Amino acid sequence: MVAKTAPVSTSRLAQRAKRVLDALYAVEAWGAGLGLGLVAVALFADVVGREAVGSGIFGAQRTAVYGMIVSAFLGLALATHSGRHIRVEGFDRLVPAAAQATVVRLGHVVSMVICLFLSYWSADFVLVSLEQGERGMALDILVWPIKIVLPWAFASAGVRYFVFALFPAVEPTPEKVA
Amino acid sequence: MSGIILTGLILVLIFLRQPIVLIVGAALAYVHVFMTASRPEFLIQDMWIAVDREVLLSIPLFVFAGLIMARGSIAKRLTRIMTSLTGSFPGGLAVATVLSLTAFGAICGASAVTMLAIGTIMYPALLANGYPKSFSLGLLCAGGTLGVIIPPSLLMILYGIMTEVSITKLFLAGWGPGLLLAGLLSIYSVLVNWRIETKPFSGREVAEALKSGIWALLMPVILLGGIYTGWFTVTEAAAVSVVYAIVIEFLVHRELTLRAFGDVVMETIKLQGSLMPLLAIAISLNNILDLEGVPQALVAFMKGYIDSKFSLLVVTNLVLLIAGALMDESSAIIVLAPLLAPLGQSYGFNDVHFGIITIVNLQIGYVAPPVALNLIVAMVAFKEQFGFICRSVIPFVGIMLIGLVITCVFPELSLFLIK
Repeated sequence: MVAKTAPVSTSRLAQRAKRVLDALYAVEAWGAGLGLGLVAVALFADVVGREAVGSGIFGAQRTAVYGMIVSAFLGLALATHSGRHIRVEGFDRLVPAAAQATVVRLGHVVSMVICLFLSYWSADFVLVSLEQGERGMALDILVWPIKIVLPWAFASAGVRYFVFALFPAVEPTPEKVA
Repeated sequence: MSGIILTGLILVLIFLRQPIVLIVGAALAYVHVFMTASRPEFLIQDMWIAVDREVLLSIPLFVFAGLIMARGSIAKRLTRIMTSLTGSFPGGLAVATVLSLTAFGAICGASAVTMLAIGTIMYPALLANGYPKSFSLGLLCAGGTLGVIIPPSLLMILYGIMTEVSITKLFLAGWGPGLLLAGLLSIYSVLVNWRIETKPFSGREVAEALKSGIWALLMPVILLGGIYTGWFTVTEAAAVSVVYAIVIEFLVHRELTLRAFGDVVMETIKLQGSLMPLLAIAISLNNILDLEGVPQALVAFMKGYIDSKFSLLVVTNLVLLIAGALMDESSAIIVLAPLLAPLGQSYGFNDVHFGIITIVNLQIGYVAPPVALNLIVAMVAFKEQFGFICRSVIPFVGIMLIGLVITCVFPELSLFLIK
């Protein structure tokens, strides 16, 4: 799983920032990959169990849901890393060519602020779950360790936008969603 | 006043090129803080409740399965079967392309994936056999949209989740309009390419193609047969299709490398990462709209201006066609479906038929500039100018509009399998 930010030939600080983001990408990619694998394996095992021995696997669907949540929210950070988020592009041409770079940079600052707010509120949400000792519905496990992926994902995306605003050369070339 | 500020905030964020997920998130936080007696923490709580559901599991899995098949050799083998069957007729290779897109659409729920999987094989073949470049590009871009109308379909799953219409019924209803469009594209292909030289029919080639592609052909039978017979749910079918695709590509066809598989996993995760948080925030938005009675107010407001089923149909089609041209189709369905579905219901449309009308409309958005995903992907994949691709797709948009009108006028086309 290889990170795909644009090659950087700017300052040493920018290169260090890129290396940090790439390392973060690798860790999150593995986490998200394991989450996605868990979804497929748990659900397939459930179907096979039901058809082969007459009963599905207890908690398989809930396990799959948790795997999907981890994979989806780490995917949010990974999509940020690769410029994969869906956005309305129809109005881009309204900005004069000379102002494009400034608008993009300003946009990254705004994205960072929104992400950090969402991360803060998510952290609050996780803390409430931790304090209440909230447990899962079918699977009797503590839920807050899974919920942590929310503040993590928004913070991780926010940090990326901060780096993109600071070092535009690190910013990825937007990829198209299939 | 708050409404005006909210609209301004959204426009400024669009102007600043914010991802839709952050625009909706910021707008929703504004609603929580300034327009309702609520707190932004509830936004996160609603998001969690939205994603903590089994019904969403099919989305990443269908995308995953589609990408595995596109990168492996299932698409190639399906194409070989269709080419061997129709290659000897006038315009036969173009018809084989349409049939391949249809068959791949029956195992993959995404438009651009379908276009790429078949297009990378058929585009060079069409050119080599004398088919005009403009026709070939237009056919692939338009035919790729069969991926979202022939079940399984990502857009149908999203529509079902956002409006609580049965996804299985939508999967049944998609067949009529999907096959209609495939038929219209095939007829056009034959008419336009009547004079192109054909190859003689070979029964041996058909037999060999069927032998090499039997596992690929069985996939839609297992997948959709399982859903329609109630053997497994849509979510379970998605998991089965992933495992089936992995087993076939790694153990039977043996043409998918581990590196390519890793790329497919990352592609799936990124797509999921751009879609699922948006879905979660949009569901949270719907909760608050419901709570404030916005859909009901919208229905009441529209009833003051729209006096017939026909008028609603015209307005809905226009709104969806414009939305499809201006924004990504998944986002359009997530944002618009919960507002439009109650309108359709209040004017006496069948829930499933109205859903199919919505999807057929947005399907055209994949080839309608400026935000035409299939055209942009085709530009990169087939290395052609965007303007040329836009021109090449014009006659096909006309065909798709004919399909849309027929789908709107004849509900039975969508509903005959359900009844």
